[in-house]
Amino acid sequence: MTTIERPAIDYDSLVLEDRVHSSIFTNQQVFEDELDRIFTRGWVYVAHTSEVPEPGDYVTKWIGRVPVLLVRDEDGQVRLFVNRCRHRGNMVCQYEAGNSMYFTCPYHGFTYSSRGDLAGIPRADAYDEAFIAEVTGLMPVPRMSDYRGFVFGSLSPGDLTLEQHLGNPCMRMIDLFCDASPAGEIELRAGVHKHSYRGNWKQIGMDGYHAQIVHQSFFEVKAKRATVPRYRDSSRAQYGARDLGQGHAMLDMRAKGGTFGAIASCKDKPWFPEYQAALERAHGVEWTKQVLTASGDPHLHIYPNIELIDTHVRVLRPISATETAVYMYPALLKGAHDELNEARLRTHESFYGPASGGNPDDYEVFERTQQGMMGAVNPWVMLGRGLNRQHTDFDDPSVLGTVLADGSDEIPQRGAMARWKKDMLGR
Amino acid sequence: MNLELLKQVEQFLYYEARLMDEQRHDEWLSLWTDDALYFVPVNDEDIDPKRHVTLIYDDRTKLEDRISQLKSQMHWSQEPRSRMRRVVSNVELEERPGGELIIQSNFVLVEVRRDDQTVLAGRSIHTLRPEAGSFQIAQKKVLLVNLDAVMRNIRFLL
Repeated sequence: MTTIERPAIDYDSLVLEDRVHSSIFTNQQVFEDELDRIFTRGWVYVAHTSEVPEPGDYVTKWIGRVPVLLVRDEDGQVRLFVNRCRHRGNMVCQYEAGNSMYFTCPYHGFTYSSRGDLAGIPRADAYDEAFIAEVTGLMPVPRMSDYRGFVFGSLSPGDLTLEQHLGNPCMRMIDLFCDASPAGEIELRAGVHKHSYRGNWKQIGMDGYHAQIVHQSFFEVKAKRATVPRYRDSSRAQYGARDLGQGHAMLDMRAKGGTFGAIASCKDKPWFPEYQAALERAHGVEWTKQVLTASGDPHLHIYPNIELIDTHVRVLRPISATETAVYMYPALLKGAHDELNEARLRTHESFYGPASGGNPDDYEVFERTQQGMMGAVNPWVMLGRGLNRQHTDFDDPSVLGTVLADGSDEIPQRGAMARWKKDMLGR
Repeated sequence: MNLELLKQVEQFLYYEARLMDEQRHDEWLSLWTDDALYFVPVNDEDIDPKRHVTLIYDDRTKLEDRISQLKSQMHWSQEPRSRMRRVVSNVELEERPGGELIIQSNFVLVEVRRDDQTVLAGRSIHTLRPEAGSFQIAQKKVLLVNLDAVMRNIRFLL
């Protein structure tokens, strides 16, 4: 007979103001604690309602390691269940997406309706009333809420609402992403890149400092075509990095001048003035200006597992301390011209995805970092860049009270780590 | 069946495979026409690239940019370079009126980076135009067996 005793980890000592201990990226025990304290207790992004537009539409995803089923029931209501048969634990729905009014377990035939109710049991005569009263259907995920169609779930009951988890600045930046659509709606129906790296999930975050070095081979090719200007001084970027609170962060490119991105590339199209006018009618002139200047890209990290970057929704799926799968869904804009939506797909492919010119280099670097961090003789990962020049922003009403620094500063990392520490300490 | 033509096509595919395996990028690029289309779908074999994302959807310009970046010494995902060898087989030939050839073939590709060995497999559909005793590639569609699976970096030629 054996037991495994794991001493509690002192998270307080692992996250300091300007540095973190690399064991938080390499220690599998930390990972198991994260699954419990972050992915079981807090709000975790699951899917977008545009992935299940019609009654019976469903998708299967994960919250941490828990397989979940998101289904739009026969009355049109979106529901979120644990994807596990109440009988003996089989993963009831094996498909990533589809349409069905019933879900039948392949093991003993227990059948659930789109509302999750137990609709039928083969040879039910062996089961008594107590069983039927207890096994009423698929287990609902305890909390589910959505903002602008982004559905979040929580495996634990609790008082913190989704709005409180997101906070106003973060919600406003989700608005920026969605309001590139004249209808105010994005649609995730253009497929997904499924891309993994052998590294910790927390390596992904907002980082303006790396681009000039990691992606220099990409930028050199673009410079030859004179489509992207060379960066000059990397210590002062042309945009800001913001800590939005609660672990959320963004690279704020609204001041950049709208020269990048799919929307910007379509500025001379004959339909663009009408597109801009439609945005202004729907969202107002001032806000439209911000949306277009950012090319619809809030470059937003929503703690813990979702980012809105460029034209896609990026979902992080932690698999182990040393492996992460990333799902990138290009977001189409409802009510926008087909050419704009196609441009969004093409610009996405050029930089994002396993065969693209951009994020493969990020993943290579993450893998090398994961290897290097095994050398924990000096275990500190230095995250103090810009501590001396960050300040609270009271000027911009859309992101009031957020902490702003230069785009190359490590303020997103510090913000995420502060939130992470709170969660890991159970506060 | 035109066995002589089939043999020539196979030899051409083996040559193309060798150029890709040995990362002789400029020579590989010279096999392509100006109206090149290099298409690798993702998620499903029959996607419409106007409405669905792809892994690769390169016209001539993008193909040139891809080669340009693959040749860089600072493209970290290929520093160091992968070692590769692939087997091309199951070649089927269809002659179209007008002279174009539609070639279908299978491949199994083994790629090694440091101590990781990856096996990829798939089906290629080439549109070839006879040119100066050889062929030029006008279109190439590659259907990976793992097109809907989670994958690591694929920064080499398929």
